[in-house]
Amino acid sequence: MTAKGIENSETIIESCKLIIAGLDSQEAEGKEVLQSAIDILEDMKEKFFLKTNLAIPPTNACKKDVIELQLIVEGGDLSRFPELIDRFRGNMEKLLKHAKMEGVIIT
Amino acid sequence: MTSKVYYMDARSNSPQTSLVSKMITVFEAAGFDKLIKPGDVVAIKLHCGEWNNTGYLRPVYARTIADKVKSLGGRPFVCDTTTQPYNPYATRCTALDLMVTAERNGYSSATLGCPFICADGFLGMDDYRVDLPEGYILKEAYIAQAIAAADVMIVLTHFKGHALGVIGGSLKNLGIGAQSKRGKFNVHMGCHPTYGLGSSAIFHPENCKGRKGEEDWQILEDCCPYGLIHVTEDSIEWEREKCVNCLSCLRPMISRGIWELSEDNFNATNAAIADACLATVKAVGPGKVAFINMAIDISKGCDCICFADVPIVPNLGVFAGYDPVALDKACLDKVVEAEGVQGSTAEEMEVMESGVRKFESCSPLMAGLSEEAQLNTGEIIGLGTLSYELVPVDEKEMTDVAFPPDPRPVGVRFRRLFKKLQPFPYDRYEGKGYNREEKVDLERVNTHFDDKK
Repeated sequence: MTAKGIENSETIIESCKLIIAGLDSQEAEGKEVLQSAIDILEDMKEKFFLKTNLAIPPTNACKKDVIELQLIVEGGDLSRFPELIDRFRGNMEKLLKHAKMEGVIIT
Repeated sequence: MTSKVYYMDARSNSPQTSLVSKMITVFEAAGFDKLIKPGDVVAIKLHCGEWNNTGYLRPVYARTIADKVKSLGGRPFVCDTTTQPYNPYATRCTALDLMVTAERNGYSSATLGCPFICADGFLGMDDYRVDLPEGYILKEAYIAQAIAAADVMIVLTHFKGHALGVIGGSLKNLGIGAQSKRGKFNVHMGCHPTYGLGSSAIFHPENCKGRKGEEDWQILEDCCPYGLIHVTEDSIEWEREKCVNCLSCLRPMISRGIWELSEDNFNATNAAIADACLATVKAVGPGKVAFINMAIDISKGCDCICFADVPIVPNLGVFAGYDPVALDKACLDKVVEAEGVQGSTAEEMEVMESGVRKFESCSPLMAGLSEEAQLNTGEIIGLGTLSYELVPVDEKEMTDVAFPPDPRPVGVRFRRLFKKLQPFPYDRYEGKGYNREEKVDLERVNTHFDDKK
């Protein structure tokens, strides 16, 4: 069974690719954020963190963001794009922080 | 066979329904007071909490039991044990560290009314070896000496989740908490040929860029107290066959992807926890160990981490009995039955509904671990049974929980004293005592900020 964190990451990567394709030449800065998320997650997929339960809440949050972003890009109204891409960037930063696993102790 | 579990819920609305009163009420209902004879040395085993953890049990619970033991003629001491290193900055790894942390967390003779003891000596090597032919995986265990030396033990447990054990209940309080440091290496499968971390973890040296590429590579070497990790110029080496499973390198290694933990190591340790719990009961003496579970502040993680998150379910109550398997199972069932707390990990992991297993999603580091593994093992080896009868206990009378140092009504206690030393200034302002407005507009303040908009 694929770990939920990896499953979420694959969904995020696919959604990011679709959003980038759907944006054409618009929102260059947003595209950079999405591409950077793809690169980070591709790298993280090789590491144990995404197989842990710790990865589920932060990847859930990022997945929710990209699904919303994908919907608005598909709908053609980008008025909420800056707000959502900011939220996604924030949640990706939280994911990276979680991946450092600070405070994780097994006794 | 069914075991009795004495139970009171977590609601409090009177002195006799305070959780402290309820704890001592179930203590008596379960017959623990009959266990203690004058002169008996009584160990009260608990988890004193890691540095900066806030979920551990307040010292007043242990104090109340210690007072009860003294009232029965026993000689109580409260204890915990040294830990494995567990992390690069461990705070309870020697008796010195443990005592400093325990005192900071409020556990001292001043608060407890009896000594707080590190039960396994300065470095965790004061222990008592127990043969365990009936063990599921362990065939011997090393019990903290002060615990093995006690005539009676009261196991006072904060019931919560755990990153490895999935749950942290009575079984874990003894299966890990009553083992000496070398006993803990045993339970964690140190150097085990199949389930030890050295044997079972997947090692990815290719994910370490070495001294040239890792800015903070030094911590990878510094986190191992046995010096088994060597960072080379462009990679990393690990003397895995000597790994004792102390887990202090866990975070630095897995956050970099250098290791993948093995589910087998976790499952084997959980089975060993039940074995080691049985060994502890054998060391003190069958029928001489009583268990109390406080199912309150039920965090996803153990008290051995340096923080405590929002509880995943509300407070559930106080449980007591002689069978730790039944006791933990009763608590676990209550957690499943409860609804999750909003804003907690239960919400993030989407396990808020009643009837859903909460700990399995919220607590363990890895998916796929059963929250009943320790309990199943406990039943197989004869430590206890998963079948239990929940026995509701009636609250005490209010007079039974009056202020123990002087339980007389206050009129009796203070009337003579107040005649001599009067705190109310009757002699001022025509007997009214103080200079105050006769009447004010109370409606003006008895309102809300939003009402004024």
